[in-house]
Amino acid sequence: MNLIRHWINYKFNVAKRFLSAWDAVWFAPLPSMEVSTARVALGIAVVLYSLSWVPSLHSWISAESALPSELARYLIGDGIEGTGSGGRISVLYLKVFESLAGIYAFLTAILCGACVLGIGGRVTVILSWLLLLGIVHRVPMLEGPGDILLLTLFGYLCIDPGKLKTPFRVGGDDGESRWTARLALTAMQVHVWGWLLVSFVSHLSEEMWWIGDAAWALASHDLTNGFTVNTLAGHPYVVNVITHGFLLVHLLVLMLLPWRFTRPLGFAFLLVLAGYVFVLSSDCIYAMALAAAASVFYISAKQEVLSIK
Amino acid sequence: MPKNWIRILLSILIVSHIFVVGVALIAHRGTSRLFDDMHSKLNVYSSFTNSRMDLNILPIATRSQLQESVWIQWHGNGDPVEKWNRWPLIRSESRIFWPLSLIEEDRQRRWLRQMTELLNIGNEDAVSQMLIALINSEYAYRSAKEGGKEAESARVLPDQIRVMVGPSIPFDRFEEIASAKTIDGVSEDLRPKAVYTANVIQLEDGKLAILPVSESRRLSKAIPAQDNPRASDPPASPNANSPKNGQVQGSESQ
Repeated sequence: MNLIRHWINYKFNVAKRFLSAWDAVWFAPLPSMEVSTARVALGIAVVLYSLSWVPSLHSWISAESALPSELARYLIGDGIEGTGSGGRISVLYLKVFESLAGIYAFLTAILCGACVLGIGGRVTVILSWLLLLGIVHRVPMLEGPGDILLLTLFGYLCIDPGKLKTPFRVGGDDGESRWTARLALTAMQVHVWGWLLVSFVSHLSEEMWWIGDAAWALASHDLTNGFTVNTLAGHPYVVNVITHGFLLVHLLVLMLLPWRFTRPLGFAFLLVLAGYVFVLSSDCIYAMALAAAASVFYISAKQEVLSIK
Repeated sequence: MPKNWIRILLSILIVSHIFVVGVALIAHRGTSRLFDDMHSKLNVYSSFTNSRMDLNILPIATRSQLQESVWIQWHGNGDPVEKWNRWPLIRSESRIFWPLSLIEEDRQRRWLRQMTELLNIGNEDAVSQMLIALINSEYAYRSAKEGGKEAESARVLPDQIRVMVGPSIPFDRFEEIASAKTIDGVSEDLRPKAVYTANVIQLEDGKLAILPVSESRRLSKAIPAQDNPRASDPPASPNANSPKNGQVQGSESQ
């Protein structure tokens, strides 16, 4: 009988510990200032993202362009059940707004800039996010992984946008700890790590990454910012080193980020990975999104470094 | 700490979110196939889903050894044959500075990649609509560049448009391809394969339409031979601005 009671107590304690650890990870109050690093980094990234649309959005979505409203609606499967097209809401589908696309993108950039400067709180972040979604939903066929990562992480700031020490900041207490800040930051950290895991698995599923030819495949399609087939031709080992180096950095980030002690290294390697993506692929937005995503680990990495000192 | 009921509710949300998103992403290849099955009638969405779910920096089309290239043949106005093999959509004049031009080029690559993926899954309707939009945008660009409405007569339309899909360049055969001045100098197995060729026609209301060559041939065969001395050729393009209307031979492959 005693044995059963001990066993039940043991299980109860384990469950209790697990629940308290769960609470600590997701709901323990955190100074909302700590989310501000992510807010600034992600804010700068979305400002640049919005600005990148200013000169060209009209050229993409006007009536005499590659993606006029009717074609875009057709391509997303408008009116066909199960395509998810109903969720792609954007004022940019309206003809009235087509001619104002550049202004729309510029206003979005200004609003995102307000987020960086700490003007307004949750309302500014939510408005900026909705405007950004308006662009992405209008041209989903042009979006890449960077667009999705950036907007998702920025969306988490709607839970708690943090506080900023800037002349523009309004209201609130810098040192105030809030459980929403912890929830937002942990959600972003888990999301980024999960994203990297999926990305790594996705790369491993392709033979070209195993045999070391991926860098060549990218270069031969003119899909890299750093290499061309002319520079790589005749150097198979260089091609292999570049390809496998990418996988190695990816793996290191995955292994180093979860543990508090190794997190500063994981943070550094995530920045290296962002640089690698910029050089190895032609996807600047994705590289920028990864660099901004590193900011969600910045505070904990910095605290670890300070504790070692 | 939030109240207990809020914590429980949020915990359920977190777990379900991680499970749904995580499983969907990890099994993204499976879900893509699932989407393919679900939306086989509208392959457009499943194609885009493939791209959206994919986190590999090596694009699908590249991985499957496909060359992404659009070749468009223009005739007339000093442009006897113009070949595009990349993103002609947003011209260099509209670019501002270096980082933005890189981003813009990448978006144009994505647009092109979507078209080749649509072509791979056999959705010719979507491809033809994208091509019409492409020609329209180029049409508008050229007329604006040449002085707007005053240069109406200088406007030209392509007689024929081709989307070519072929193999990528293998590492050990780069020299062979680089030394070949034309695609004809390259061995058969490395040549791009034209999987979509269409004639461009201007309708009476001024709108553009494109007619796949296979369809053109079918229509040509329907006309009695004595009325149609070149029954194997595609019908003449009614584009009045082109000096070589109907002269371009349609072909399904090179």
